[in-house]
Amino acid sequence: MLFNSWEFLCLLLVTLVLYYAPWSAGRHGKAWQVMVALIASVVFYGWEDPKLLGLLAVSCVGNSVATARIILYKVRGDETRVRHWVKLAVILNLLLLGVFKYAPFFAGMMPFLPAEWVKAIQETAPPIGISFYTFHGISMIVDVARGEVTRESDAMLSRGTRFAKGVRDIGFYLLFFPQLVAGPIVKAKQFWPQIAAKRWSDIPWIHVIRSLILGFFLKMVVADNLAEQTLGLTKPWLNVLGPLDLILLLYGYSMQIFADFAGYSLIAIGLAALFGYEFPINFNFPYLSTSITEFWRRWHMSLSAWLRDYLYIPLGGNRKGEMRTYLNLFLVMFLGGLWHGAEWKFALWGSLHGVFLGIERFCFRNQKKNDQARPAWRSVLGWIYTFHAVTILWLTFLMPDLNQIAYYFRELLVPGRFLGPTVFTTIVFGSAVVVYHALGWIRENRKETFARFRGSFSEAVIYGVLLFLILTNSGPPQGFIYFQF
Amino acid sequence: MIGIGIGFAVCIGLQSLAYFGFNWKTGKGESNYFSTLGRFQVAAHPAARVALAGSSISGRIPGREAGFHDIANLGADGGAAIDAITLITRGKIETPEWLIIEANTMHGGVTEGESTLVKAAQGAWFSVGGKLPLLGHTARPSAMLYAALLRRPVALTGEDFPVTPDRVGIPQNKNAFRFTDDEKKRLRQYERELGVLQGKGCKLIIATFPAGDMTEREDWLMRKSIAELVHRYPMTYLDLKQQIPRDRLLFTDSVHLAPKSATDVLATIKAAIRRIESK
Repeated sequence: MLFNSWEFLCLLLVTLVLYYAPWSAGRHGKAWQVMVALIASVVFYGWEDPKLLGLLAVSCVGNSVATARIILYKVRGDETRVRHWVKLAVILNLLLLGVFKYAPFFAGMMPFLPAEWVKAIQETAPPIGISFYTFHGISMIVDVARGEVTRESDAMLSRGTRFAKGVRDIGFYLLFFPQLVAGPIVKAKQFWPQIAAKRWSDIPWIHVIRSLILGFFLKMVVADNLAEQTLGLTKPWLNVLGPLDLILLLYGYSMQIFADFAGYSLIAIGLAALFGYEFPINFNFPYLSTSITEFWRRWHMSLSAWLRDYLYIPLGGNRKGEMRTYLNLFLVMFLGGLWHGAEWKFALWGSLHGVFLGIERFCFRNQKKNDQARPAWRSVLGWIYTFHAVTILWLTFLMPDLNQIAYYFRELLVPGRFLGPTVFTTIVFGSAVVVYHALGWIRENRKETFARFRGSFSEAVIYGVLLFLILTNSGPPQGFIYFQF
Repeated sequence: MIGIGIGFAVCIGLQSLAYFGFNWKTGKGESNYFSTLGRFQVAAHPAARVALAGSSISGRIPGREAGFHDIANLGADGGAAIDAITLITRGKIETPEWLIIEANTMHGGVTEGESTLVKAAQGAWFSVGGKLPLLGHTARPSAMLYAALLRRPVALTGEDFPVTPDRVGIPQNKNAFRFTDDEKKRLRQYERELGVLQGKGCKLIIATFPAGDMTEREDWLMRKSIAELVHRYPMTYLDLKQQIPRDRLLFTDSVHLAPKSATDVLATIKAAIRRIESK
């Protein structure tokens, strides 16, 4: 089910009414609310294809059982068994991911497999959101093993009802629909302490309205309108366009992918707030970055934080010498690339980001942290380099394979027509992303001006304009780009 | 909340003013998808005397949205005649007296299920937009801005060219071509839907429009499809592509007619209908 569909609106309204029903304020309020949200999440996920629920159930039950065992042995001080269960649970999660997401990738590399098997495996689409809920599962296992999640986990210590309650809360963390399909990747230690009875009067309405209006605007008005034109970057339309169209559309795609994913994340954040949960921000004006290193602190921040906490630091981070740091950076980005999809193009995307990170670390190794004295021209040059490197690398997301990426660059040399709708759409809808980032720049560099604007009448009027555009100027309905990951 | 309401209300006011400036309808917007849905919405009610079902080729022929009230332009940008035909047979667009089916792109379009356009035109938002013009697809602010920048003038009078109903000639030297399974399915779709249309009393004309060149196979496919449909459902075939001298027409690109030429082609179709009716 998509956030921008009528079915979702109906589900949301029904869920909200039941979630905050009068009896939710009673003694069993928390249990009621968690169950309502759980059932809504199951409907949300299984709406298009109920078969997908089977795999989700395996992930949920497997992780719940493992978590219960880890807590039990942790309390008893049996670290060997804790490690054993952590390994087992991580393997279960990676196995699910490996079989259902990476089987096509590996099947293609096995020459002894019959061609029709390989074709059948490659034509099977991976279950929606598997990368996200697998990462949630691993986060839960590791956070519990590290002792960073304790409050709710106490419930796992006794049998019977209390055990069931614990499993219910774990299921809730894994399945909660705002984050289920495409994040933000909320860590267990961020989510579990929030599980409690919620009250209607505690809803932070201004935060909810801001997040939902801005999120739906970025997705439905900006990303969906741009998507109709950027389709031109794929065959067979690619060879109809001239070089200027191709360049403009690539910028357009850069804006689109930001608007699509940032929009989704804002909607998820707004929806979670509606149910009384606070999700971390996922995007912090990433196109203001003046280096790739900074870009990864601003783009898909919940993934970057996950990779840092559960991969980079366990690999040794920067504590094992310079060479090992470069290797770790590269490995994390390479695997981060493959996390997006089981294809070489994603491996290339991650690897190149890793190379950029390594080069930047090497070139600026003597620069002090938070060096504010950097001249403006260096920031501008840094911004140009970062934006263009990131934008060119987005081609790997858009194009079906590396051949078509090469074809795109060849077509840049072939004269062709300049199409009105391409130019118009990219400028009109792309400019919304530019304005959004300009506001971000003001927020970071002109704090007083931004403080005067925040919460003012002018800001409310702007949200009114965005709401108007959502109703009258949305693009053709499209799925979210990150659903495929 | 008051600020949001004021911002929203001001925008509605500005949109109404702009839409009024466009005489409550815009033509081609920046989006193929919404331009097509906008044409369908404008054409849906009341029933037109003549409707044109096809792709963006017939989408350039001026219709109700350009002031020709008896003409419903049902050209689907990036689609084919089957989209509009399906919507007429399902009652989403009222059945016209005459339906001109563009043959140039008949070989395109869906073979399984419904196209996204047909799905959208059967959705709630399409009906809402039909009843509340400001929520209609032709009232999109970006479409109005694009139309204002494009400033494509509509020619209100056209010169008709002498054309006569034709027999379909299938080049004999191209018999090596065969229908693929998908093409057979598509042809069956047309057969089914045209049967329903004739049952509703709609008079059918199939026409090739002046447009770009086709490959040998596309040309064969089009002619063979026309021949099969005409054989099954007796209807008039107008070969506008062959009978209107290309040097008398202007195109905005290699495929689509310029406004004046599009009006000329419309005048030609209307004259042909008058001749058929007078017989």
